[in-house]
Amino acid sequence: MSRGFTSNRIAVLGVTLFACFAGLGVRLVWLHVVDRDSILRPVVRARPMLIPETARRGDILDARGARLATSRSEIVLGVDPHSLVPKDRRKWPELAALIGMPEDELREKFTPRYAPPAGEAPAPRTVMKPAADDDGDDNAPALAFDFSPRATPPADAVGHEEETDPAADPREPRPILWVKLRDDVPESLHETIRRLNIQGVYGRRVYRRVYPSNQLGSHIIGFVNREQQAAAGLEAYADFYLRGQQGWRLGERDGRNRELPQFAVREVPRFDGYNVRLSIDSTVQDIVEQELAALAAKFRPAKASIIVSDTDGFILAMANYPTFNPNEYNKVPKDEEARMKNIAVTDVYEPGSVFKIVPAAAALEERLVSARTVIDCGVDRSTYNGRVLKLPAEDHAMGRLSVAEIISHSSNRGAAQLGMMLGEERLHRYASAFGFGTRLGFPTGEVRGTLHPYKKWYPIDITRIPMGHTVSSTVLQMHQAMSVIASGGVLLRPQIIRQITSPTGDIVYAYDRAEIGRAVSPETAAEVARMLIGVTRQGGTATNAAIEGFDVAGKTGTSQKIIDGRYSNRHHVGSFVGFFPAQRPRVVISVVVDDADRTAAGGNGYGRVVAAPSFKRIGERLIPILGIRPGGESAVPRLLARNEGGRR
Amino acid sequence: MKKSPSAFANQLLLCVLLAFCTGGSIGLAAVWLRHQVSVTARSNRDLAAEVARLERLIDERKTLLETEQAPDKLRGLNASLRLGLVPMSELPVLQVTENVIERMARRAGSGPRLETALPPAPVTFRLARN
Repeated sequence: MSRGFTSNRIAVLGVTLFACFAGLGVRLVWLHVVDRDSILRPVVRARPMLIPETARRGDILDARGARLATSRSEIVLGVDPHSLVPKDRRKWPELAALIGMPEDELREKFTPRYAPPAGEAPAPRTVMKPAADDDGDDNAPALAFDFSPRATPPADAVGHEEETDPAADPREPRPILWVKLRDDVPESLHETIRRLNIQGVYGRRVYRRVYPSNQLGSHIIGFVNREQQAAAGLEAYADFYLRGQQGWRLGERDGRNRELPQFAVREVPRFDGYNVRLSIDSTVQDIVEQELAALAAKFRPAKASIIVSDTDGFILAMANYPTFNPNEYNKVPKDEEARMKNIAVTDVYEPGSVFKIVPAAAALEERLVSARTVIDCGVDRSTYNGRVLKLPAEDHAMGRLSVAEIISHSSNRGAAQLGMMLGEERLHRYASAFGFGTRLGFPTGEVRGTLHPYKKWYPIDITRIPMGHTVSSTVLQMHQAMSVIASGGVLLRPQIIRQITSPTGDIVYAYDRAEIGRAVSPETAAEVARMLIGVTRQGGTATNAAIEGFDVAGKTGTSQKIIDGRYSNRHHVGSFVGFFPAQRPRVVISVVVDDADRTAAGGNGYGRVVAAPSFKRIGERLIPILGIRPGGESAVPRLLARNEGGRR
Repeated sequence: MKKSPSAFANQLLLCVLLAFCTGGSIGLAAVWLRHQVSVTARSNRDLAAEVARLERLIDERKTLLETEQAPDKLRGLNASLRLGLVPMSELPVLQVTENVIERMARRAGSGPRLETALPPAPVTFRLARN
């Protein structure tokens, strides 16, 4: 009996179990096959999330590794007024104090509001959902906007004050889900705010460009604007290296908007930008900018530029007056935006007498003269190609001068006669070989200057071009022309980037000395350098550029500015371009001052007055910093000392 | 010996129960594993976020340091704290071009002397041959 009962009981239990499982199976089939699409549709729409990873823009470093431009992450702090809870009210005053906002204003922003229906009034911006912290910050809501990867971070995440719910019916008042509180919250302050744990207050992380040294090297570095677009200078030129590559993750989120990392289906890692290491030395740059500031205070010029480079073509400092602070580029008045130009490469001027190194070197190279060849500089006319040409005027009467004296005394007539010895074709060829009339390959904004084809020259030009008139150059071109003499006759490409390095410090690309071509032989360059020493010695035009204990080679230049189509006697561009030590050059320095006549002694902004003293001051300060020692045999002590009895 | 008809049912029931237990255990293990995968993934993500956070904080400090070391700021501090620091503008090494022996002899004879307990050690110089 009991066996039968057991048998029935087992049968019933088995049937029941089977029925249960059959029911479950049917339900599973129903859910997974029949009703699958309708169930999955909202899930598919709600769960996937795309998280962009913003790449950090690389740094711009100086030659010693100091950061001239860097990226700092900041938080754009905002609030969703509809998510606030009453229990957090007591924390609001503390938050107001932390972000430096009056409490009343904070309370106003915390008041839930609605945007009017579309068409009634300008509504706050509607976004799919606030941009999230790319590192999975729990305070930040997840991201749910379009799935197309962005080439750039959502720049619009910064600029808007309020955002509404995108899912809301545009015909109804839409809740404002995000109100900006402050857009420059530092990381450390954000940490403190996070610890307050106020529900509904969250931040969006953005990278902002910072220039720690303010205006130091601003014309070279340029700036990145508020939209994170590289707008000028090396920021724009090296943007390809600096900007990096944005990354993104495609995954899913839970019901509380948190990322579910285990369901990540695709991930493109971000690549932070490379760092760009410049040849600029902050210390040298600072010295140059101080000198420019002093020069501006003393002479109040229209503009001025100073360039310092080594003899391999690498620029150690390049500065202009007036200048600007790239951290506050937007505060530069519209009518003063020219101050943001790197005028050392974008503006041209007539180089004046500094150009005389070209005909002198060319005549020596062509063996038409030697340094001792004497030329009569007292004549005011000369015959050239059957024409009698009027020679340019001199500042003061000059008689018979050797070629070396023509340079040291800066004789216009002597230079003109050297030019006539060379002829148009050779003078043009050498001027081109010294880098005039062509772009030298400077990374940003360089213009080519003016050196007309010699077939288009007027007959008088052969007497004017050798003294630096009717030819125009940038400050950098004149600087590189002098560098030809300093570097043994080779025209070098002016360079400002030393290395491109990865964020981990690996060298991606290293720039090396780049020669454009040979202008003159090393012997000619050395001969011209010896002649240029005379400029800073007794009897030369710039004794105030001499540096005690060093042989300084250089050349003054003063050119009249063209005002209303005529050369003005009241407006000059004064310059001094030189290098030292003359026998073994270490640095080339150019100082060009535009229109300093009003305050210059004698009312004329001559190069020897306004520029040569700056050359001397900069040179003296560079000696200990760059470890410059006097070159040449005469200056080197020949004594070797050995301490024989003084062992201690 | 005749087999009991319920024996088969008992064995079937036992097998079904065993299958349920095994399947349930496997299911539980799978769920537990999935949970562990989630926990580990979440933990990795949190660690990565923490590393990124620390890197950002380090970066912020570095930028702050660079900003505080800007030349104009240092000059301002030098003036406000009255430190009296001046830029290095003179040669740290004096280049001697005159006769060194005569110069040293002259300095030893006329210049201020360092008072020491021990007499100065004898020093000789030799001229190098060119």
